[in-house]
Amino acid sequence: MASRLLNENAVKTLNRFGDILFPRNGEYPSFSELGCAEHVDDIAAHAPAEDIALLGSFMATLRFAPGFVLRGIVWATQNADRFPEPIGTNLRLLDMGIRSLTVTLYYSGKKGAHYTGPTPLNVIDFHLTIVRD
Amino acid sequence: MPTSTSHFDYIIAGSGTSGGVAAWYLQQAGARCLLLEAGKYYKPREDFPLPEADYTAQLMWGGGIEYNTRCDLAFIRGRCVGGGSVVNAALMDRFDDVAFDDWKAASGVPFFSESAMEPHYDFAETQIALEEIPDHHRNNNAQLFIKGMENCGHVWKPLRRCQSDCPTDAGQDCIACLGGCHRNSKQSTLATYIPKAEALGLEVRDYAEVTQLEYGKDAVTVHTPRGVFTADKVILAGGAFGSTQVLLRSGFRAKLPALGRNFSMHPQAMNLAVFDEPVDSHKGVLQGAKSLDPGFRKRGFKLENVFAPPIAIAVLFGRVGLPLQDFMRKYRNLACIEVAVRDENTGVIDVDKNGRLHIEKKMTDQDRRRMRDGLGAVKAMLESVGAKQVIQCKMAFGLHLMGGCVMGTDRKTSVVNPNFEVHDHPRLCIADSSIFPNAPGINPALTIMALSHRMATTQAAQ
Repeated sequence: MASRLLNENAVKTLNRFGDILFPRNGEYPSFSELGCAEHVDDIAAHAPAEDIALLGSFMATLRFAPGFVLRGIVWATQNADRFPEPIGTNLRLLDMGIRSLTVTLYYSGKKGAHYTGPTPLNVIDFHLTIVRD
Repeated sequence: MPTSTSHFDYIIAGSGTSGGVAAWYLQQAGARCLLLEAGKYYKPREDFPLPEADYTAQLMWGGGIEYNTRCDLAFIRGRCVGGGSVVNAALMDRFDDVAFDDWKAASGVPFFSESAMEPHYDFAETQIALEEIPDHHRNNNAQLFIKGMENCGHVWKPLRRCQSDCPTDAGQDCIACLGGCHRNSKQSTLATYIPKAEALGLEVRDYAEVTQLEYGKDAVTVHTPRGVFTADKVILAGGAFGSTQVLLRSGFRAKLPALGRNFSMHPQAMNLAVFDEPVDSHKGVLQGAKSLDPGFRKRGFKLENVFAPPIAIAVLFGRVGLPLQDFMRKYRNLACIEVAVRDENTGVIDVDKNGRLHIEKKMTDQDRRRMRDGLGAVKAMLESVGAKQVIQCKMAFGLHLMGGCVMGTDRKTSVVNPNFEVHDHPRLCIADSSIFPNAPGINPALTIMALSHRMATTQAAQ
């Protein structure tokens, strides 16, 4: 399913970042294997449009970046407090952009049209009971 | 006075805890009111999105979460008809004289006392169903909290929620109600005040964020994406961020030197503990008990048993990759206690040239000391009940956003006078959490209701 808010290159980079943050691990599918990025618009449509445009442009420019560059970015965002300001602030901002989006999609219970395995919510055995009238 | 159909006696901008109360009270007093809300009007029991990912994106500002300019503190606030009262944990506490004395000292406002506010609390409490969580409804997380408190010699108390007919015995997991209650059990303004006011003729417009105000001699003009409206008076009820942002966008900064100042947020940190056996903190009643320890109050923090759905826990954990996935495998084995700090009101709310919020807020040395004290108490409690590992989440967040338009008698240091009117602008009133002179260290919802009732009675008397 094509995103209306992120172009194809940006979605590919989202999946690449997603696989660094959520690799295949036992019963857990990898981020891209799960196919949850198909639902990115469900989340991104409600964030400020300028923030999503900025994140989308950033992702699109990294489409052909080598894997070590993406891993380096993730390492830097995870260690933002080690950097001087304003670099630290920008890394924290990037961390929340990438991590919030991928975590939200990965643990959303949503999956791609072709994925048939357990979702991460199944893996952690998360169920809620809603009692209707 | 204009007499078009878009002219009202009162326009209330914001439909949460303050706006709902004000709308109902003024409408039943005979005023013609319009209630504006930036978010969507979800019809109870029908439309609330259920998956955490969806309700977080759709019901909160910023698509889920907002940050300070350093991006090291997070803020969560509701964006739908009912506002924060739809997405909060529905905890209802009166303030004590510690909080009111500090407010009185900072503001010079004489009615900041338990006795003067009592009739307004009494009124607010009669309009909503309140239930103290009984022992048999406390889930394992709450039981561990209580045991830990008692092991460490601390005083605790059951939490009081505004809820009615919540089917706990039938297995309801009320953590889902953080995304809106599907049964109207949670006594949000969407389930209580607003429908009553609508029955009396209140008009409600959703997707109607106030972009600008024009203050005139005879009326106030309100600009929204849904149209332009005028009113004799406007009540700002968008909370610390919303009400302050509207005034800043509308050019009031030069007239009100204290506008945007004195922001506080009760920084909260989640402390997760891993146990050998499932705790299932997400099952049953989300919150059941809190600290009522005089020592904690003196040291400037409070504790509550709490938990969060998977996405929130994963984001707060902070790490990624295999450590996060392995940690999340233990989700059912987690207990959680939250530390909330009574912080100093040193934050500043501002807007950029496009009107977007910029929040300058740092934890002060005192805030950090209070947080450390709270974390120490939590660690001892969790270890005393057998926790195998205690994890402090990296990012503190704020659900109680306060200040920006603080009340006071001095127009140099405050924005709103003791009649809830913006200084020198009697057609503009505010009674939401933006008027709090400083952080009370207590859940604010009931006091916002009481202040809004006081404001509305003052207005109705006029």
